[in-house]
Order: sequence, then structure tokens, then C-alpha cells
Amino acid sequence: MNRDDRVLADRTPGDRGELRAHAALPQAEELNRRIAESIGDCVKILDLDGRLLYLNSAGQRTLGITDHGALLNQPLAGFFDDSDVRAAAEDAVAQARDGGSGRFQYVMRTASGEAKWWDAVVTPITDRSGAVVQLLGISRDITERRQEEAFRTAQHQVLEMIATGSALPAVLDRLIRLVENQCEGMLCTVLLLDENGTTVRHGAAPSLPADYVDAIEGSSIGPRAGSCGTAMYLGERVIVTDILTDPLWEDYRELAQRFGLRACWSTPIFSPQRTVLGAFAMYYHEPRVPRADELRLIETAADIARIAIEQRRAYQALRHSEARVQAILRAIPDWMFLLTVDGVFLDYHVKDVSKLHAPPAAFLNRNVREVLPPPVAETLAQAFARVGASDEDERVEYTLGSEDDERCFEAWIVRCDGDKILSIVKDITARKRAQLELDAQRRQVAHLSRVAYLVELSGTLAHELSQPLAAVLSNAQAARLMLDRTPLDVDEMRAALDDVIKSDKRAGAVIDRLRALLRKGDATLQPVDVSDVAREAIDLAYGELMSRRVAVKSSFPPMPLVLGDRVQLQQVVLNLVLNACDAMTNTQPTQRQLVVSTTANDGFVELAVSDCGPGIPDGELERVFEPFVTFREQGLGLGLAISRSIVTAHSGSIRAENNVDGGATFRCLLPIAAPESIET
Amino acid sequence: MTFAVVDDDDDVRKALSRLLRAMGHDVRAFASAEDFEAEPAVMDCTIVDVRLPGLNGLELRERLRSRNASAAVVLITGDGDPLSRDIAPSVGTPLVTKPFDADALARAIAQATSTQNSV
Repeated sequence: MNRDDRVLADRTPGDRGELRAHAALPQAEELNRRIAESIGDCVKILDLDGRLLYLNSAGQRTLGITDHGALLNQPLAGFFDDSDVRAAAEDAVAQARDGGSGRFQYVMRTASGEAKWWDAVVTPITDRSGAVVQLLGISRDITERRQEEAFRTAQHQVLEMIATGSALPAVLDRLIRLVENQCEGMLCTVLLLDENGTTVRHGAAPSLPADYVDAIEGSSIGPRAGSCGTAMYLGERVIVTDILTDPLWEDYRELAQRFGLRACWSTPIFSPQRTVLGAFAMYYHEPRVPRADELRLIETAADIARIAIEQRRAYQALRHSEARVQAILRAIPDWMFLLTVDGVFLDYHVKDVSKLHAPPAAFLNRNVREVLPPPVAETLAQAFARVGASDEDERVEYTLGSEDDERCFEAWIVRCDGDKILSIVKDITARKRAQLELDAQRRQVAHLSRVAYLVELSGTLAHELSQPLAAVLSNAQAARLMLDRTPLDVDEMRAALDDVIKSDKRAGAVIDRLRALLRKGDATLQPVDVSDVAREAIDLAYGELMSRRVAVKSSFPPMPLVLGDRVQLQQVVLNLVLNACDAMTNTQPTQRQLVVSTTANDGFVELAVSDCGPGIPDGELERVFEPFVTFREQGLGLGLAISRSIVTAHSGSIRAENNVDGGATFRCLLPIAAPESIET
Repeated sequence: MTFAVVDDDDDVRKALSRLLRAMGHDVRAFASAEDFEAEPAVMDCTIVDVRLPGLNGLELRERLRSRNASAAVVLITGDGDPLSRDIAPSVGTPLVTKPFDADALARAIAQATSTQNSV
């Protein structure tokens, strides 16, 4: 060691104390030397100008040299390229020279090309008199520490993003950049696994080519589906050091090659229940085996990704359940009761306090059987028990109150909180009353329509009765005349009387039909094909159509079924047809054209009846449907009014319009029956 | 007299024919206007229902009148038929509604045939 020699050279031996110290010096020197050689930090000894006198083995290794001889006398600053670092180094040297210590940090590549961070401290080396004779520079590798700090900061940022509800793509993006910053040349991606458990979905891949990302999207996981697909399939980390040779990439090799991807390491992301949520992958453009720290990094990143993905799923589930609650509340119940499965009231909520039938004390903590009348309580209690056992909702209708103040309620009973029952109650008295009124109206319409049917067919009826009666009268009068003749033609008289009897019976049958029509019956709702009804009505009116010389053009393709009363609907068709015939009374016989058709569209069956009469006067298109409004000389003018009542009672509509080329068209719309309301 | 009875209702046709025969006339009965026109014989009086399948009573009257302006026709009808409005009950074409009394029928026949005579 030169130092030794030089120091000793300046001294003159003399003092015994000095001699002892002098003797101890080589030992101390040796100790120091050994220490310097063994520590991992880079140790430099510098002269007062900062030039290198000594470099320890660690320092030599870092610079990639075996002998520091070539670097001797090089100023410290000369080791650095960066001008800022050089200036900092010179400052540190100056400070140490003055007796203090200087510190600076710099980044330098090691011989292997790795960039490393260093923290350098320069301190004075003093002789026994305290004079600074040399400088000691120790550089410590703080790369890992710095990396860890940076990582922790970034990790903190990502976690904060998750906690504040940032969107998943943004979180994953940040996470990936964080990881990519740790390792140069690394390209990361997060893939998500679709809920179906087999389809790969894009999560984030800010550094990968968009075309590559698109190509992966929608692919299936499997035992040989690249790194990520396989990792997700097996639930294990998959390391592929060379895509070109690894069998797992067989199907995707060409794709990866196109984008220059050579290595891919993938680790699956698991939910707390150990289901696979996705995968975190690292790509490189050259074949690589992962280092231990890179593997640790990938695991950490997968953990953070898991948190982010889980958080989004929880959020989505919450939104979904919130939507359900909203839907329930939107029903605006009048009362809500929370009960045990056995029917004990635990809590209640009422929209309008005045609507509470009894004070809370009267029912809270008491069983429904103690609170409500037995039949109602029993029905509800059984419903609670069923819902509690099966978790299937039930709807119960019940009535409460006295004879003159009876009210109807509808309770929707659902299980909640695992072992409790929620009963959501609405007062449906008004609705029920309206329903009853509607039913009564329907029956009324049915009766009225039969009477109107009568009026409509009054002509036909009169005709039908007049025939047999005419036969009776003529036969009877003939027989009477024959009685005055001699000789008596007994055979002919017998025949005449026989015909009288026959014709009278025929008249009786007509009367019977009349009675049947007049009988007040309930409208029966059946699935009906309007085309069939229309066809039958045309057949019924055939005689009339023929005698009035009306040509009929019809189109009756099979129609979707409507729910209705067949007889009533037939009346409507008949009425419209006869109306049309009436309209064409003054039209030239050769021009009398009636068009009847059925079509289906938009949830309705449409029946259209067109004539080529004079049409309906302007402004009367609605008035024609009013009762006792008629443009005919016969009839009561009830036909269209009744028809409209019937159609309305069938939840349909009817309107009149004038045709462009003359005449009028009546359109009747009837709703197509929902499939579940048709039973055969 | 020879009558033609044209009515598609079997019972009425039979009864009316019987009545006319009891009144001392000859009767030929037809179920439709077409059947009647197929018959070449000339009738003294034709009793025809307004409502017939095919050619109706009114049209038949017109055709008869076009061939013989003084042809005697009695129209019978069974209802408050809208077609009745179409009927211009000209003198000489009486209309009788069913069920008709024998006397009413006789009066109508007399009216129809007297017109015939007066032309």
C-alpha cells in the first residue's frame, strides 16, 4: 500500500509513543484493507484532488475491470458522463477536503449493462494531527431500494385509484405501466376471463400492438392456448421462455411472431373463492428466462389486479341489487311489514301514517294470527311459511273490514335477510271495484248487443216469420174455401192442414231462436280466429247480400287468435257488412262491391269492411258510432254504437274512414291474445 | 185464369198455389225467376216474391213489362225490405205483404188485371 509508505516517508521516527502507534499502523492498515476488500460497496481512496488512488474489488467488479491500475490518478468526476453528476462529485470532493462530507447519487451501468443507482459518500481521511490527507469515497448500490420505493409509490397510487372507484381499464393501465417501469423491455397485459369461464376478454395492454390485442380477444382458454390461455385454464403460472419453440404456443405462434414477441410469462388472477378472473402477463421481444425479482413482481401485480377486478365485480353486483330494490320500491307499496317466518311482526313501514289500521303496539312482536281475522291470518301465515322455506315469491289477495267498508289488499311476500319475511302490501280496493264494474259492463254489453242483434236482424226475422205464417194463412184459407166446394176434396184439405201444422212449427222454431237471443247470458271469452268469424258472418248475410246484388270480395287468411265472445264478434262483422250494404243502396247494382279482409300486424288483428257507397259526410266519422245516429231510414241506429261497445269490451278499437276512391272503410282492431292466456 | 207463382220458399209456394186453386184458378209454380222465364207459356197473372235468388222480383217485373207493357204482376214481400223503397209502386203493380189474407190477395189480383184491361 502506497499510502503506508508515503506517510511513513514524511515522518521521522523518534517518539516512543509514536513508535508504538507506528507499529500498530501496519496492522490497522491490513485490517482496513481486508474490510474494504470484503464489503460489497464500492470503495475508493482518492487524493486531495479527488484522483483515484485505490479501488476495491467490488468497485472493480462493478466497472468490469480486474485491475485498477489503469484508472489510477483519474479524477472522481471523470468516472461519470453526466455533467450534473460530475459537478456533484466535485462538490463532494471539495466538501470532504474541507473536513466535511459530501454526498451525491447517480446512475451508472454495470459491466453487464444493467443500470444501477448509487449513493456515494465522500469523507476525509485524516492523519493523527487531524489534517486531511486523503479522501474516502464509498458508493452503495441503492438500486433495489430505489426500485422498491418507486414501486411502493406507484402501487399506492394504483390502490388509491381502486379505492376511489376509478374505472377498471384505467386502473389496469396504470398498474401495467408501473410494472413495465420496473423492467426495461417488458410489455405487460392484463386479460380478463368472461363469466362463461372460457372466453378471453381484453383488460388492458397499453404497450402491445392493437392488432395483437384484437386477435386475442374472444379466444378460448385451453391446455394449449398460449401462456395466458393455458395459465387461466390450468389455474397455474405458465412461463414460456421462447414462443417459437414452446408447444403451448403452437396455435398462436404465427401471430406472436408477426409482432416480434418471443417470451411470455403469465400468472392467473384468482378471486377469493379461487375462481379464475383473468391473467397477468409479461412479454419480451427476445427469449428470456425470468429472474426471481421479476417473478415476484408478476405475483404482486397479479394481486393488485385481483383487487381491482374484484372491486369492479362487487360494484356491479351492488348496482344490480340496487336496481332490484328500486324496482320493488317503485311499486309504491302502501305498507311494508317485516316478519319472522312464523309470522311475528318485527317492523313496519307505512307510506301514510294515517293509513295504519292499528297502532304499532297492537301488532309489533305479535303473531299475525293474533292480529288479523282467522281466515286472512291463516292464508298469510301459510304463505309466509312457504316463502320462508322455498325463497319463491308469492302474491296473496285478501279482504278486511266490515260489510259496508270492505277493502281489498294485495300482499307481495318475499324472503329477505335469509330468515325473515317482507310483506309488501297495496290497497287494491279501487282496482278490484273497477274490475267488477268492468265485468258488469261486459255482461250488460253482451245483453244489449243481443237485443241490438235482434234489431239488426229485425228485417230478416220478420221475413223469417212471415214465410211460415203466410203458408199457414194461405193453407188455412185454401182449406176453408175447399169446405164450400162440392165434392169435398178431402185429400187436398188434409194436405193443407198438414202444411199448416208444419209451417206453424217452423214459426215456433224462429220464436225459439228469438228467445235464445234475448236470454241474458255472460260473455264467454274464448280463443277465436277472426277470419273464421268473418267468414261465418258473411255466410249468415249471404241471402241479404244476394238479394241486394252486392258483390263480395274477401280475404280471410288464418289469423292469430284473439280472446273474445264468438257470437258478439260475429255481430260486429254482420253489422259492418249490413251497414256497407245499406250504404250502397243507391249505387248502381253492377258497382256494388263489398270488400272484407283480415290482417294481422303489430299485436293486433285488423278487420276491414269497405264499401263503395257515398262515404261518410265530413266531420261525421266519429258521430256514426253514436247511438241513434243513422243515415238509414230503417233501424234504430244502434248497430255501430253496439259494435263499438263490443269491440271496446274486447280491448280493441274501431274507426271509420273515407276511401280515396269513394266509399267508406270501417277498421276494427282486436288485440292478439298472449300465448299464456290461451289454453286448449 | 192461369197464374204463375214465383217464390223460392217451398212452403209459401205450395200454400199460395193451393189457395189460388181453391179460388178456382190454374197455377204454375216456379222456385226462381230463371225457372219461370224458361217456361214459354204466357200467364194471365204473375205473382212473384220480391226476394228471389238470382234475378229478383222487381227485375222480373221489368222484363215482363218490357215484353208486354200490360203484363199483370203482383209483388209479394215478407219483410220491411229496404228494397221496398226501390219499388215505385206504380199503378198496376200492387204489393202484398206476407202473411196476406186471401181477400187482400184477391184485391191485388183484380187491380193488376184491371190495369191490364185498361191499357
